[in-house]
Amino acid sequence: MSTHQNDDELHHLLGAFVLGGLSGDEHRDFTRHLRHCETCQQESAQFSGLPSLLDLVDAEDAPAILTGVTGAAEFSDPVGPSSTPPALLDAVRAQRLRGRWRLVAAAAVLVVAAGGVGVALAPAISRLDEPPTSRIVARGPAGSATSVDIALVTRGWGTQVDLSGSDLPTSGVLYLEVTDLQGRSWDVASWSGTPSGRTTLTTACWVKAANIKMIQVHTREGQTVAAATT
Amino acid sequence: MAPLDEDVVAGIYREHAPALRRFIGRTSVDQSRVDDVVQEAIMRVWRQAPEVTSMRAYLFQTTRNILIDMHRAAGRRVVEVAEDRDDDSRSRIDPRATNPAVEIDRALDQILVEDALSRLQPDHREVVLALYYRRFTVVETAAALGIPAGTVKSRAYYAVRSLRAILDEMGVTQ
Ligand SMILES: [Zn+2]
Repeated sequence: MSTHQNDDELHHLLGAFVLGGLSGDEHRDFTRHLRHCETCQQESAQFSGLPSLLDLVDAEDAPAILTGVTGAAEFSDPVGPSSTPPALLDAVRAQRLRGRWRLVAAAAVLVVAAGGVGVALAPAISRLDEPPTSRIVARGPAGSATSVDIALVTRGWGTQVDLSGSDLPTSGVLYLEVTDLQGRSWDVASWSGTPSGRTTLTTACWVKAANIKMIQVHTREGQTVAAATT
Repeated sequence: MAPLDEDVVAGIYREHAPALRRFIGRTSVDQSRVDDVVQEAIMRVWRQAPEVTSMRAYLFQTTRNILIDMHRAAGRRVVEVAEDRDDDSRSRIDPRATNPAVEIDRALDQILVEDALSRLQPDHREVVLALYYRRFTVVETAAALGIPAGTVKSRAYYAVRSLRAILDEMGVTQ
């Protein structure tokens, strides 16, 4: 049967030719057809990248992705909010009131409006727009798991310091010390250790970010818990 | 009168946020920031109000650029810290980690292909699934779906054409 197909039927074999699944006879018939059919040659060139793109989707995952529900909503989305985040709408509203030309304000508005998320979000977003932010990781002495993410945000009045630490001492008072290029030091924050060993805080100092040489977390006794130079 | 901006943004969010979230989730970006990146991308696109044929493609591209900026910032940070430490720790830095674009672009292509597949007509999609992913023959596919072999072939043809058209629209030229 396969050898008696007309050209229309043969054209259509291109799909199964690209995807796979043609019988040996059909494959042979189509390959022969392809040699003299310009339409199929052109289309086949357009489709030639498809298999490697389809391969990006794992065959194991494909059934879950492709079966069942129709449309993009089929993908499960367990963590995301189902309605528009109020922060996003607030940012839009605020910006509309100010006028669309004040574009730079929008990112800042978004950060502020995000409330609790704002502290964690600030370094990433501000990096992209303004103000300039540099990020460093302070680590504990050898063998310690302590890690403190620090963002230094340039402000008109000095530097905003966003800190997020893990595996910190779980008791006692901890201090954040800033040292400038001249070697002068200030404690710019203090807090009590928490049972989880995690602390997130934001503080401020007047020293310009560009002049900050070193940042340390230390105990009341002056023992260094974590340190990083900029 | 044009719809209120909030409505426009809410519409964009409803339609595209799940796909953007999925894309970001495939990259090594801090997963607590996924929603922040989604919102930032939508804000940027809303501010730019681009005249584009595919809002979705534009959003994906904007998200990609945000992710690459974030990775570059994080990459610099890793290098800076490493330089302050001894040679042992410096040798642990993976140079590939400083070129995040490869990983992100791959994740983007993957998401766009999934997205394109999900936008196929269901009867086209099940033929792609059977022929390509399950490695069924035309005959096996016909039996599994309860349709004639000729229908499998023509659906495969139109499925491939639609897939190509959707991917072209999304800017996937490969
Ligand atoms: Zn032909």
